[in-house]
Amino acid sequence: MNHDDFRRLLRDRKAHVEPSPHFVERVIVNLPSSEGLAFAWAARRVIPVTLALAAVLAVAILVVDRPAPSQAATTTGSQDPLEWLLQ
Amino acid sequence: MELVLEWAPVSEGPAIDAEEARLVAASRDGDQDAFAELIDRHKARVFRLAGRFFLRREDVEDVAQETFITAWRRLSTYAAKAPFEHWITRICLRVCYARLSSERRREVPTSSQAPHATPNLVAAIDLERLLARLNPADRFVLLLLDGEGWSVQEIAERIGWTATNVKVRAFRARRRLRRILEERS
Repeated sequence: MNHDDFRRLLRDRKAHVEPSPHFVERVIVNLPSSEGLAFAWAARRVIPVTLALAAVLAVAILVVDRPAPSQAATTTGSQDPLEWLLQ
Repeated sequence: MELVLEWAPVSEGPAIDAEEARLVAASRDGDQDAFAELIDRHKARVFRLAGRFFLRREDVEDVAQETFITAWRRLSTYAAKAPFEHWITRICLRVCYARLSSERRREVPTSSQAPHATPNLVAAIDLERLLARLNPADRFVLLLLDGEGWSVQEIAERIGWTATNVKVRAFRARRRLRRILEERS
């Protein structure tokens, strides 16, 4: 077989398949429901946004909860600055 | 070589006809009767194209069914700037390529599965053996170029590649084919 034979055979190579009588009905039965499509759309669009928001909130909470350096120094120091009042 | 079919916009062509536009719009709203009408209009084209890549009836039917189910899922992305048949053709090609790629190892058909149109059965089976030695991307391009008789430009438009990309892939596919033919002779 040479290249020309290959091309000629390839041109003739095809299945002559006609759609079966109930093809359309079979496709329609297998279509995903519109509710399912809506859910899939929501999952694709809403879940990433929700996760991103959660991540931002988590970072924000961590930042807010962390004591400021100056405040941390005063509260964790060995001496209470108001200790003289108690003495 | 990995071949990726992008969901690039279908090139613009003659505008979609009014009745088809109505069917598409109704289908988008979930009207399955309208979508059934669209399937009925385009099933012959899809079957014919799938029959270019697959010879068994069940494969052709599966590809056609998957094509229309994918179209239903993605109807919202159809911009209606080009005819619906261009869009459905691209989906069908994408499904055909995915199926070709998922075949772990091509089975050489028996005489009962050889193409009916080929008078020489031995040559037809020989052709299948040859195709089995090509990778899916090469087979895909050669079936469109030499089998379907599409030009480089037509393939580029219908699949969404650049013409250069098609030329490069076709060149590589033909080079590999030539090597296989030389090994056999």
